[in-house]
Amino acid sequence: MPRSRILFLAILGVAVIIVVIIALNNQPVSPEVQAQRDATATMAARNALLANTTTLIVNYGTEKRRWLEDAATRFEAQHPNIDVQLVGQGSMESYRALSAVTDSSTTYDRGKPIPALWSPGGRIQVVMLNADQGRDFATQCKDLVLSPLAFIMWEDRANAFESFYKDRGGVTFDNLEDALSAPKNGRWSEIGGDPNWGLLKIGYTNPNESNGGFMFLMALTHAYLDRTAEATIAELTDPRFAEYARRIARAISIEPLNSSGILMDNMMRQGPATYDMVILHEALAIENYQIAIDRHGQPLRVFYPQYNLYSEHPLCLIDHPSLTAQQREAALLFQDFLLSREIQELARVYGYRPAVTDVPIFVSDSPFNEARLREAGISNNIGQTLVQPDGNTLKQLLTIWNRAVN
Amino acid sequence: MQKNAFGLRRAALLLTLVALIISACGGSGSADQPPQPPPDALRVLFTYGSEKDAWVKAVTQTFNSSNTRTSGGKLIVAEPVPVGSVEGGMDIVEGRTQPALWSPASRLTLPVINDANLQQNGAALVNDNECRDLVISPTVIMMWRPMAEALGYPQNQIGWSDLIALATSPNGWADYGKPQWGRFRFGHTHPDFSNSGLQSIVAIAYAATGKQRGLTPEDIAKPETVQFMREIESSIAHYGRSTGFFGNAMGQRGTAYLSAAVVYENVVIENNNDPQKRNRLEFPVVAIYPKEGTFQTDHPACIPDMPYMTPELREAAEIYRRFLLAEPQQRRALEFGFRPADPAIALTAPFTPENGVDPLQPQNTLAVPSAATIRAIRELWGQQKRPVNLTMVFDVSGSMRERNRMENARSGAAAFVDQLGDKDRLTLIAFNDKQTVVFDNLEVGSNRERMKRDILSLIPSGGTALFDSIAFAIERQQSTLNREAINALVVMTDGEDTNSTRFRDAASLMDRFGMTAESPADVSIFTIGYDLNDSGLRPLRTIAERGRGAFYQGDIGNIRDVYLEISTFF
Repeated sequence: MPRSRILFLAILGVAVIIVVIIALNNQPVSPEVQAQRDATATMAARNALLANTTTLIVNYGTEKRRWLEDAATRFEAQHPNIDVQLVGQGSMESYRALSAVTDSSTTYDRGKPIPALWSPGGRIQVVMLNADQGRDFATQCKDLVLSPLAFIMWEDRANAFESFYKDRGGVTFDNLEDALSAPKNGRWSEIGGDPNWGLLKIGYTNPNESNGGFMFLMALTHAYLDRTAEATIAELTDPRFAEYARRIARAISIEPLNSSGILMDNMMRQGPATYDMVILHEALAIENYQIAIDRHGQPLRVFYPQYNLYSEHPLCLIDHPSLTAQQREAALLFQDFLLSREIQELARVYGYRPAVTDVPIFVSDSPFNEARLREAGISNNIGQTLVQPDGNTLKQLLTIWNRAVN
Repeated sequence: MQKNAFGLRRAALLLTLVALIISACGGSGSADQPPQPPPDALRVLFTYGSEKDAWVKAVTQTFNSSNTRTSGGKLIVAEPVPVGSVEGGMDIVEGRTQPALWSPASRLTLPVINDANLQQNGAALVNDNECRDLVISPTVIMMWRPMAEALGYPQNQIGWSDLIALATSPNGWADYGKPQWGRFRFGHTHPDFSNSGLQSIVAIAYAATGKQRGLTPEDIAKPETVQFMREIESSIAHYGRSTGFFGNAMGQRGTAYLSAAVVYENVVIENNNDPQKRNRLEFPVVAIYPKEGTFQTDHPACIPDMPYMTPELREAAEIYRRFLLAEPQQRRALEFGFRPADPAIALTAPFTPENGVDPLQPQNTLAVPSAATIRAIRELWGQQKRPVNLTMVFDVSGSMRERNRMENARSGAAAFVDQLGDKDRLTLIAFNDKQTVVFDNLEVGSNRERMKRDILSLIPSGGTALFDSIAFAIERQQSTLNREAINALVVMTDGEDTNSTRFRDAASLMDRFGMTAESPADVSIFTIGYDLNDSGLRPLRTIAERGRGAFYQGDIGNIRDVYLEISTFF
């Protein structure tokens, strides 16, 4: 057979195969096959992504820094072409900065690059941001981990306080108010503590800047209302509530910080000399339990307020035109990774309750079940979960608080 | 011809070898100096409180050799420059420096500098919530261990009130059964220049009011606060610009120089832990964490909000700051006696009782007051600080004619007079082979201009009777000693002694007039060796060391700065 004919037949054969493949591909397929194809296409996009270096900026509430840093290191090991840059910031602070972003913005918050992912401490910041932007600017949100609010105290201080108020319920907002008011005026010598401890020093974060501060304000409000049902505007505008808020705000006069993680780091760094107690997420007590012993020679104790709430730590994509398709893809990849079993189990090590329900909290291999943490007060009984009011009432609450503080 | 060609080849080879050797020598010669960064590198100027200098320099070397780049690919080169905490902030406010990162010793400085920038440039300089603490060191009172034990250390908590009782007692240490230690001598730095000085006067104000937070300008105006400040300041030997100076000088000079000084905890560790420093200590020193509370010197690293901060420079500053906060650099802080800002790093050695520190202290921290309260405290201190009763001993020998020495020294001394307070008293003794009292024990306030005129009209001639002139000045000063004031001499000379007859060397002079613990009041001697060689400098160093003062080396280029530096001691 002449060589030209062989060549002709070969080309024809290839053409036929191509036509058949195209024809087969255009056939209607079952949803399962289509899903598999989509997954393959996604994988292809992800593979293409992995061929180029992508920078993924993640703005997050600082309290979960150590868990996120650990997770990001593991993620980068699996995806060497994705550079995860974690930017810690108070959740309310980042909410306000993102609220000011427009489609034409190239940066936000004094020249910083716009993040692809945002993980504030609570869902409440997401609701507020999307309301301000008038659309789902924070989108595809998924809760990463949960953590309730807690009073976190050094053991020696906690024992003294609890013993002094043992007939009145121990560590509660009511007893803190009593200790901080006249005639005790916060002096440790008046509430069963060592006079050298000076004044009772309580740290919380600024409710205008941090989700932890916002949770503190909610728990405080419901301690005043003495019920779980949501507050009404009428109750919050009652001068008696303003007076109550003012009394607490003035008594707790350490300048509040903007971010929960930074406050907890400060407590661990400076010890009981600067903070006898902080009112923050439970996770921070678990994460820092051993650090407290190593650095200051004593553990922490945890108490839950009577009316409590969780921080949910949603992780959302930021819908902004400056972000590339590759960055979005990398962002989703990272979100999936954080919700994987391995990283959810890792969250428990850092004191967070996994958001994925398949990963249990109080089981034998979980740090939550360690005897020493249970002795410190870590419990499944976190108080009664309060009901958050609507956005307008929340804003009203902040306004009343700000007036009381200033 | 062939031979010739071979010779040319050999010559070329030789030249190449020579060139290689020269270039190699050049290379090794520059090995001690950091290699020049490429011209397009991004320079991150980092100004910071000098107390953490050794740690910053050590870790920055690692950073610069890591060739870290911004996301845009620019090489980042960090340039660390130590500077006083308050001064460093004012340099930015007044546009003298443009650092991308600034780290004063403590957050106490932030309201002061933000307040200044608000007034000068209409906005705060830094957002203190964005500042990140680099390392921690509590502010402590460093005291000789036997003296601290006499006060009840370590069983009893000691505080400012104990120091006041000691400072104001006419019996001094005799009240504690130790008359041989004389009276209580105390030192803290000048609050206008140094963070520990500012912390000292704020802590004293807190102790005076019995408060630990919520200090107000009204509290500062109360007569009991004024009295408390005056009493504790009455025991001050002298002030000074640098916390490190007190740490070193106390270690070197022993109990007769100072009983105690306000320093950072790391200074106590350094004195006890560094073998060279430990060997020269008269006794070990310990850290007293005042029972009324103290400050945790937290070394915040802040990125200034100034127009020169481009997004690129901000990114570079953030990368460098993240490096300083990373675990390996934080762990190295322990070596230098600092508590790492990373709380996950435990306080192991050198944080041991043998080094005079207790990692479980302090038990109580004072809150940072408002800018208005700090301003009120600084004003109160300005009024109640210990005044100075000073004699300037000024060389007018013939050699001062050379190289504009006289002109520059006169202008430096006149600038020094400008720094003195209205209630300070000043005597001017001009000397060559004899001594002339130009003006005698005048209050500065009403005589400032006249004093400057007299200084600016001094004329050089004659020889140099340095030792006899110092003796003359000390004897005169002793005749007008004022226990309420800092009594001091500032001696400036450009020559070796050629004409003294009473005292032939520094040792015999200081055997006669040097410090002893029992002196009822002290005359501190500060010396300036001006445009002098080593043999001329040596006696001046001895006189300052044995005279409870400080020695400075000056030249025609820096004499004005030297005088200004000495003014921070008063």
